Amino acid sequence: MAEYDADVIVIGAGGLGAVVALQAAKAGKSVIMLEAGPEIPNWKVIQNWRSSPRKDNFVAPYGDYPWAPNSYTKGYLDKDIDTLRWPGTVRAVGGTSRHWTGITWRFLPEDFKLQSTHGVGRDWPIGYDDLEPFYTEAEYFIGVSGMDSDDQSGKHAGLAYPHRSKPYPMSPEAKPYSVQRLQMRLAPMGMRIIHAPCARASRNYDGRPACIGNNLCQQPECPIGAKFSGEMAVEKARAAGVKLRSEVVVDTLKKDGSGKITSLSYQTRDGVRQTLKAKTYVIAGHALETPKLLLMNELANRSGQLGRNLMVHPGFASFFEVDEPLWQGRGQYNHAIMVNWRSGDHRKESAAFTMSPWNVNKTADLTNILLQSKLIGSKLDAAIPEAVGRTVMMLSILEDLANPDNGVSLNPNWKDALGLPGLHFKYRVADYTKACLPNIFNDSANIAQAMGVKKAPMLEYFITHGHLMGTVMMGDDPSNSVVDRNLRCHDHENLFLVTTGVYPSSTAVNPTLTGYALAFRAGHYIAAEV
Amino acid sequence: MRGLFLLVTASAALLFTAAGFSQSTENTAPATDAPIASSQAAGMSTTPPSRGKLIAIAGDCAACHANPAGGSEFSGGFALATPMGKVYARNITSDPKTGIGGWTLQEFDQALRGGRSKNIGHLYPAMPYTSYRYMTDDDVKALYDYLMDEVQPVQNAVPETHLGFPFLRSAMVFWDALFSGSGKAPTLENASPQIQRGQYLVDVLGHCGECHTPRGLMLQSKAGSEHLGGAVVGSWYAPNISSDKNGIGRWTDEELKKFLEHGKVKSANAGGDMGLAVRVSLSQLPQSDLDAVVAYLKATPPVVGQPLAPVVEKVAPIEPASVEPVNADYKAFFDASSTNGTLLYLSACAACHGVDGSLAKGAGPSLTHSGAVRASNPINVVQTITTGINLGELDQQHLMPSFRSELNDAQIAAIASYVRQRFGGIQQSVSESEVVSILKGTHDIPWLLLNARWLAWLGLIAGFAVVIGGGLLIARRARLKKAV
Repeated sequence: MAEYDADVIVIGAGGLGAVVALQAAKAGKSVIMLEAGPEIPNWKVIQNWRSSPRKDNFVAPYGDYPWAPNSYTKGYLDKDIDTLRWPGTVRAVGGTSRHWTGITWRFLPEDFKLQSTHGVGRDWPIGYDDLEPFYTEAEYFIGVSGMDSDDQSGKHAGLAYPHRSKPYPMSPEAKPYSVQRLQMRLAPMGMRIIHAPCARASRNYDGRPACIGNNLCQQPECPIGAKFSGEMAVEKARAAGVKLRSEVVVDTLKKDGSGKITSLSYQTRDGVRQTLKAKTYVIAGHALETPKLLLMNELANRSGQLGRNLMVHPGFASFFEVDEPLWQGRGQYNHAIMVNWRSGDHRKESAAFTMSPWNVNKTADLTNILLQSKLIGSKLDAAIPEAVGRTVMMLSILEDLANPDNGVSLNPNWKDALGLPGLHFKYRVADYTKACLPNIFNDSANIAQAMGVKKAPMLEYFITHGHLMGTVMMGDDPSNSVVDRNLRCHDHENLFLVTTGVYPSSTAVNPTLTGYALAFRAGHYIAAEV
Repeated sequence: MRGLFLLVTASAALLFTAAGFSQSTENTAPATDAPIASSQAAGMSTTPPSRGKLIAIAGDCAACHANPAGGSEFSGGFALATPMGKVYARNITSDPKTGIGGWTLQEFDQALRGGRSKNIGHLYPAMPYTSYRYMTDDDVKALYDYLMDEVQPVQNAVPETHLGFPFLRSAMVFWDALFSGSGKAPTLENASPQIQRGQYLVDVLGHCGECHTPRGLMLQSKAGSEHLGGAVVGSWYAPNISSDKNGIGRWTDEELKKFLEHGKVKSANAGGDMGLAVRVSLSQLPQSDLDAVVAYLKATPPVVGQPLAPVVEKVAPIEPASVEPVNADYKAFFDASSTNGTLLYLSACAACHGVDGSLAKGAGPSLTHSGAVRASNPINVVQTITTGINLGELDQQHLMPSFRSELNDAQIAAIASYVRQRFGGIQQSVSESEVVSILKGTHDIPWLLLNARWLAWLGLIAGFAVVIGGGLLIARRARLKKAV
C-alpha cells in the first residue's frame, strides 16, 4: 500500500477548495476532494426551487440532508442573534458559492490596514499589492464583468481605483432601466452609484453564455449558467484530474507529536468509515464547518480564537415608494452600488457601508402588506402592481468588526444523523456598525427627496448577508490568530484553511472574490511546497 | 516483406471492389482540366488582402490546418475524426522542416489537386483534393504564393496519421483510380457568370459537398445524383442545401446570405463544423461572393433527401406544476435521475428557449422553426444539447452551453425526443443507444466501413488460404505427375 492516498486532500468541494485542488493538480500533484453534500446538477437546483413552497429560504433548493445539515436546518444552529436573518450555507458539491449574487469586488488597499489607518479593527498580515496578481488571476478564472475606469472607493473621483494590473475580462452588462433612472435622479445629491463588478458574463466567456437578465442570480442560481458558480470551479478541477468523493463527512483529523496531521477519516452518509492519508490537508469548509471540524478534534486553537470573531455583514433594508414606476426586478439582481461611504476617515468612528438599489421584484412582500390594508377586490388587484412598480428596495452592507464574543462553538445537545454536534451561533451587531446608521438615514432622506417619496419607508430592518467571515482568522501572531499569511495553521504545518473565515476584517463589500484570490495564492503556494 | 505489403493492399482493394460496392467510375480528368470559372471574373481585388489570402479563406484551409495547441493558423495538428480514425491536418506553413517550405509550385499543386504529397505520399480524401482538383492554375499559384510568402513559417511537427490496415496510404491508388472524380458537381446549363462564380466557390474552393453531399459505401461522393442533398458527417448531420424545399428552397436569398455571414437565421444555427466554416471562411467572403454562393445554391438541381417536417404553428400550452411535483423528502432534492423529457426541458432549457420553444430571440432559431428540430434524423438536436453552439467572435452575446456534464445519455435522449415531438411534430422518439452512437460518431456509417478491419483481414486470410491451398494442390499434382 502506498504511504499516501494523495499528495493533497481538500475537505470541502466548494469554489475555493476547488481552486486549491486545481492548482495542485495542474502542478502534477494527486488530489482528492471530499464533500459532505451530494452532487446536484444545475437544472435540478432550478427545478427544486421552482417546485418549492419555501421561496424565502434561499438555500432550500440545495437540499437539507440528515448527514450534512446546513445553517437553515432546524436546530443545527442554536442562535443567539440580534438580526432578522442569518447567513445561509449550502452543503452540496460547489458549496455555498453556488448560492451567490456574483458580486466580485476587490478590497481596497486601505481595507487591509484598518487598524493602522483608522485605529479600529485589525490589519491583515498581507496587503493589496500581495494579493493583486491573484485578484487578477481570480477575475479571469471566474470571468468578471467590470468597469475599468470606475473609482470604486468613492474617494478618488475621476480616477480609477484601486489600481489593477490588467483590465477586467469583460465590460459591464447593459444597465437596467431602474438603475438608469436612479443614477440620473440621485447624482445631483452627490451619490456615486457605480457598476458592481460581478461574475455574470456580459459576453460569451469560457463556454458560458452572456447574461440575459433572468433576475434569478441567487434565487437560487443562474438558470442559464451565465454567472460563475462554485460547481464550475469543481468541474475544472475534475477535468484536471482531481478525484471527487461526495456524500462523505470528514469528522476526524489525527496529528503526531509535532502537530503534523497524519490522517483523516470520514463517514459516508450511511455511517461507513474510511481513513485517508495525504502529505498536505486543506480544509475549505467555509466559516462554519471549518472551525467546527477543528473544534471537534481540538486542533489549531493555541490562540483560543478558533470559532471566534464571527463577522456576517449586517445589512439594512429600506423600501421606498417612489414617484415613478421603476419596475425593479428586470435585468441583473444587483447591478449598481452607491460607494460614497465605502472608504474614508469616518471609519474612525463608524462603519463603512455600501448601499445598493436591490434589483428584485418584491411582489410577495408588498402583497402581504397590502393584504393588511382595507383594500379588497379589483382595488387590491390594481394596488399590487402599482406598488410593485414603484417600490425601490435599498439594501446596504455594513462593515463588521472582529469581536471575540461573536462566534460559533460546539453544541453537543444537538446531533445530526451521524451523531455529530450542532453549533451555538452568537452574533451581536457592533456599536461601531450601528454608528453608521445616521449616515444611512441621511442618505435615505436624500433618496426620498430626490425620488419624490411621500411616505416614510414601508419597511426597515436589519438583516445579515450570507457573508461568513472571521472564525479562523489569519495573522502573523500565533497568539491571536489561527492561520498565517499563507493560510497555514500556526499549530499544524501541513494543514491549510482556505475559507473566507480567515478574514481579519470584513470591509463593506461582498467577500467572495477576495476568497478566490486567497485560494489562488494559497493554491500556488501549496502546489509548490507539497 | 515488401511483397506481403503489396499483397495486403492489393487484397484490400480487391476486397472492396470485388465486393461489388464500387460506384460508376467517372472520368478521372487531369488536374488542370475544366476550370469552372476564373476568380478574376468576380473582380477580386489584388490589393490587400491578397488574392491568395482570399482563396485560402474561400477554401476554408484554416478550419482544418489549425493548430489545436493554439499556435498560429496553418501550422496543423488538428485531428479530423473520420470513420476510419483520426486524420491529422499537416503543417502547411513554409517551415522547411515541418511544413511545406521546400516545395515547388508543381509539388504543391500535386498535393492540392492531385492528392499526392511530396513528403507522405498519397493523401486521404479528408483533404478535399477531389474538390480542389477543379481549381484554376492561377488560383493554385496565388494560394502557393500566399502560403510561401505571406504566412509566417511555424515549426510544428504534426503527428503522423495511422489509420492502419486496410486503409493504407498506398491503397489510395485504387481509391483515386476509381473515385477521385466522384466529387464533380453536375454542370448547370446556361449559368450566368454570377452562378458560375457561385459554383466555383461552393463546389471547388468551399468544397461544401465534402460534407453536404452523401457518400457511397467506399466514401466516394455521390455528387452525380445527390449533389448537396444532405449527409451524416462525423457526428453531425450536414443538412440538404440543394434547392429542394427540403433543402434551402424555401429560404429567401436574404436569409441564406445572413446565415452564411452570421451563422444564424430564424430556421437554422450553424453548429459543429459549420460554425467553424462560417467563422473562418464564409463570414469573411466579399459581399459579391456571398451573393454568388446564394445564387448558385438557389440554382442547384433539387435533391429530395430526407424530408423536413412542417413548422408546428401552435404549440399547446403546458402547466409546469403538472410535471414538477413538490419534492417529497430530502432524497428528492438530489435525485437527478429523471428521464421525463418535459421536466428536463422545463428545468434545463426553458429559461432560454421558453416553455413554448419560441424564445431565445436573437440567439438563433425558435425551436419550432429550427431545421435541426424538424429534420427526420435527431443527430443535430442531440449534438446541440450535448456540445452546445458557440460562434465565437461572430456572436459574443449568444451561446448555447454544453450540457454534457449535467445530463446523461438517457436524459439527452429524453430531451431530444421531447423537443422533436413538441416543437417539430415528429413522434418518433430518440433512444439512449441512438444518442450513444451519435456521440461516438458511428451513427449511420456504412456497415462495410465500420467493419472494414476484420473484413479485410478475413479477405486476406481467405486470399492466403487460396494461395496456400492452390500451391499445395499444384505441388500435389506435380508429385502425382512425378509418380506417374
